[in-house]
Amino acid sequence: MSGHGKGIVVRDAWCVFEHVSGRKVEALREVTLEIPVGQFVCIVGRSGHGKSTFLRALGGLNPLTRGEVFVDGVPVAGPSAERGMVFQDETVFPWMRVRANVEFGLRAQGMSAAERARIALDWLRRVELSEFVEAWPRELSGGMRRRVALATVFAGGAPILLMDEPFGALDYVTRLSLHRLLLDLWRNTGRTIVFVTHDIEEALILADRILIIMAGRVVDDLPVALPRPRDEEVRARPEAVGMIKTIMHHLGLDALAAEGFERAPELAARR
Amino acid sequence: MQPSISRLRARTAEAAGNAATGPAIAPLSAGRPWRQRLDPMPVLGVMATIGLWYLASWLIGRYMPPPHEVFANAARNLVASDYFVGLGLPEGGYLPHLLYTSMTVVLGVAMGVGLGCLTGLLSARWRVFDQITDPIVATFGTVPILVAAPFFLIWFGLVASAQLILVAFYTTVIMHIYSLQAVRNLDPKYVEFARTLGASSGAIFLRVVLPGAVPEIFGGVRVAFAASWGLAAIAELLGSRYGVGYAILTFESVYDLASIMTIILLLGLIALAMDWLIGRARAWITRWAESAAA
Repeated sequence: MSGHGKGIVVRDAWCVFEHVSGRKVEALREVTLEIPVGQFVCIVGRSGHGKSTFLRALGGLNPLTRGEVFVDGVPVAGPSAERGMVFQDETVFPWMRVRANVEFGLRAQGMSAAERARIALDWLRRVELSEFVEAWPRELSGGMRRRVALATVFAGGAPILLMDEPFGALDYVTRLSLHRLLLDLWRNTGRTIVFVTHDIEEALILADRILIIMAGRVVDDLPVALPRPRDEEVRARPEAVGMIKTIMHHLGLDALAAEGFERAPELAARR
Repeated sequence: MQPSISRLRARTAEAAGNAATGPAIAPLSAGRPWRQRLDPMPVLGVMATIGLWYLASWLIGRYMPPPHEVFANAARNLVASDYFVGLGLPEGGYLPHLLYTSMTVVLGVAMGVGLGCLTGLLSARWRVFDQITDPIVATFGTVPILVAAPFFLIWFGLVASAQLILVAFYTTVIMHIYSLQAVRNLDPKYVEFARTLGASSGAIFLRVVLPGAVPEIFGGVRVAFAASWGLAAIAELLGSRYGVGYAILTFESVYDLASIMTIILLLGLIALAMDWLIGRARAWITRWAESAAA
């Protein structure tokens, strides 16, 4: 049987929900793939097509209807400190000061106060928040709160980090600086990162590999061989543009690009 | 005086709506939000009230004593009064009655907050518990005070302070609803995040669910206190040999309207002071939240 070996192994994963109307929704269908240790994987796809369901299944937060997820050969049965998660909205506890937030996972592991403080301060330094150690989250900007969330999950020590559009609500400039930070942390720690995004550019900047999920299926699996850092010049190379075209095609947006928005259904309906 | 359950539910839902939008960006120099500045508007409000009171007194006459008469009455009889003794009230003026009713309210609310939070949080944690307690709360919580009070007097009047039990009972109902809603309104993301950080369910309850629910629970404490002053006084009107309600009954028998108004005013001042204290405590405990000065 597969499921052995290091990294994440997903075998024939199905996830079927019962909608309120009684209709069955297949959020995931026969997903089979492997993610080796240390890889940065981005998942793109239209909203409502199963990206988050897949990520939550990896995290053990959504039980699968069929199939299995293995991490280092062990089946995933629920959430664990081995798989850190950063959610779309705030994943910072507003009632704890910044340092207590970062220490939360360490405290759960039963670490001594001194050890906790040392590790938390170290991670806060790495996300450039040393001056805000004793601040309340409400005193920080949205981008800074994401840094706290990153420090928290990295400090928690999980070898696998699952991120569900963590920078989705941020402005462009803040997002770019967080990309750089996240890539730095990833390079220096060798964690495996699975990162859901709706932003093709973001995927191209971050990923070793891009998975495209449509209607619950992984419809394409693109290795991204572009050199890093992926600045505008790299992203303008023919192979990068070709990749963008492929992704657009899978998302059903190629007609839109070719015919000048003529066939974009939302716009057509409005006329 | 009877706090309507549906109104309570609506208010907690509203609070949840506010919480969901959450703090967007807060100024870095937010400093100490639990310290309040003195607004000129409340002062204006007090002056307007006294003005209207004089007007009403001038229009109504004998049965509406003017403010200065009430203030003088309060000063004269606050801690000692031969006149009260003449009416058959205990020595010591207004003070013992005010203290007695205040003790009833504070102890009753304290008991109710403890018990109500316990059942509310248990119900939030275990569905079965909620299914058992929900009909009980829904049924007994809606019984009007005037209907419930005689039963409480008969059941508890001989063994304990029926007023105390009554206040504790209604506070329990209010706090049960508030604490249950507070936990339910908490964004489940917080609990999920804590689980993916490896926290045990005990740690999640203590360090995530409870602090996250505290702001709304405090809202319940405030409502419970506000309702309890009236509850305690009404329960004393119906049968007691002490307290503000009993004193009012005594003054009524000799048509002493000034003393009735005085003791109501004094009780109101105590209630106001208590509300202010709770507000400060809440602002300090929830100083992490943006709307701490609410």
